[in-house]
Amino acid sequence: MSGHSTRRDDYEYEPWYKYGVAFLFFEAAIAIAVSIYALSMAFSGQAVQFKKKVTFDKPKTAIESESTREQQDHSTITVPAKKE
Amino acid sequence: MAAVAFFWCFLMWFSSAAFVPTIASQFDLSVKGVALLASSAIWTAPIARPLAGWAADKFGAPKAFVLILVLTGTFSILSAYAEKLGPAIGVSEYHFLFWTRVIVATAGISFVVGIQHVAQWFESEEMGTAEGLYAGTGNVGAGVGALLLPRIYGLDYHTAFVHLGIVAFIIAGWILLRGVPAKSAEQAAMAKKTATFRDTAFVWTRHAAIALMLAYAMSFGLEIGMNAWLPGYYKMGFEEAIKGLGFETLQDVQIAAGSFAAVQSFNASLFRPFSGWISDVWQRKGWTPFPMISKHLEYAPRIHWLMFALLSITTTMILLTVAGLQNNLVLSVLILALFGITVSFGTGGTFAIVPLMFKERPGTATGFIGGVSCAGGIIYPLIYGEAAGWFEVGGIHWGYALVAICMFIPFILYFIWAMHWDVHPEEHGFGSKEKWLGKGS
Repeated sequence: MSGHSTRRDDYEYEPWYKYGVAFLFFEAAIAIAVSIYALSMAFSGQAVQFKKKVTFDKPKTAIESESTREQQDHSTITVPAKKE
Repeated sequence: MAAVAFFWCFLMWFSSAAFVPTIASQFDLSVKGVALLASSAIWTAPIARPLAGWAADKFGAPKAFVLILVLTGTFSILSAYAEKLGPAIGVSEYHFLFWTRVIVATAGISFVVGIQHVAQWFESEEMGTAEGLYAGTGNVGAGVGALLLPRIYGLDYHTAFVHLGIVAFIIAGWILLRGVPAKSAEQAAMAKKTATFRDTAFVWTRHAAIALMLAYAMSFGLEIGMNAWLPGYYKMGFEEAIKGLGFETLQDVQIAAGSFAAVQSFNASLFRPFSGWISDVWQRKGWTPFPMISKHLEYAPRIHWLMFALLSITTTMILLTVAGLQNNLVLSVLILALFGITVSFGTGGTFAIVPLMFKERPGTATGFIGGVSCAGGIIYPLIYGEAAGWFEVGGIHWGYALVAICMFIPFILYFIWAMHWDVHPEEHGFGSKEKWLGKGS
């Protein structure tokens, strides 16, 4: 690759520039870290589900709701279906 | 200021997506209904982005930002009260929610306003990094929304939409008080003067603008298309391999496929500022390695950097097909990570050039290049899907190579041709400058 008339080695950057460059390297490092984390978890068969497991049920009767509540797993949130 | 406004607009743009599972279950949506809700976020982009670019030139970026934030903030708050407001105007709650969210999704058009604003404030030697930081950091808003909104608000999307709207008003007020359109009054006046229908038609018919639009369709258009396509691709194309890793149930396979797909999205967003900085480095070093492309333009090295990016994207697309045909999941995901980085090279590289090449019409040019290119996000997944039926073996993997060879290589050839002029490449196009702008222009 050869130099050309467009070369501007003498240009003095404004003060914000060095902080901007530091920040973009920080962002690139985050991207690499997230990629490595996601891939290592996935390839080891342990990809995590970040959100709580959410299930949606149709409205139940009071008796059904009572019995369901007793059996419900603590990691599960139940949302009543929309009334028409 | 532009980055903050864009970040918040991006957060609002994709805030519906963060609550799609809740909304889908609440309204008992079918798979098609969910797809429609998810895709509605980009419906307005190809049409409204050019308008936003024109408005940024005509009225100044701060006023354009305020208009977008107030409009989308208002509809974000209204959407939270769909249960009452929908029936009140004679439509169902879901229809009211859907259409108000489509309007909120127009927040995505703020991208071109910010590009124009940054272009009016920074020196040409720093343009790549400045535009990259603006766009890359703003793009993170989408990821932050997906990650944080469900954690903060749980299933209560109503409150989330109200809070998002209120903060949009606060940012709009801040911009209204402190926003200045350009570094100098002359610069702002020049942009305003060129915000006409004739100038818009002139820009839209320039070879350089079309070539940059295609370059952006090869990068950002591809990025959003892949966001929609990849989770399904890994699930269908590598189901056995993923199950071999220990992901047995459908839900587990989806999580694994989504993890692989997210790698592309993260790299494409977070490496974008890095690409802008590399463009600055090429400019400073004066690197112009490619034949036929101009070496004498003031910003020629930036064009050569973008050319390198386009070749990299095309190569990694073909390699994705090769890895898929070998049924090699590890190789495919590694190439996908690299692919995400090459996409960021294209997105960052394109907008390191646009403000410099179209100095007199930054908003109009950005609106055209950043808007029309979004159509790629709709077209590529359709081609991948069609290609799956054309090949007996490994059909689902062939789409990438097909797009790369049949679309991207012609795009690159056009790009090379459009960038060969050493003097004012932005003036060559369909019809002369005099024809579009009149004599003495």
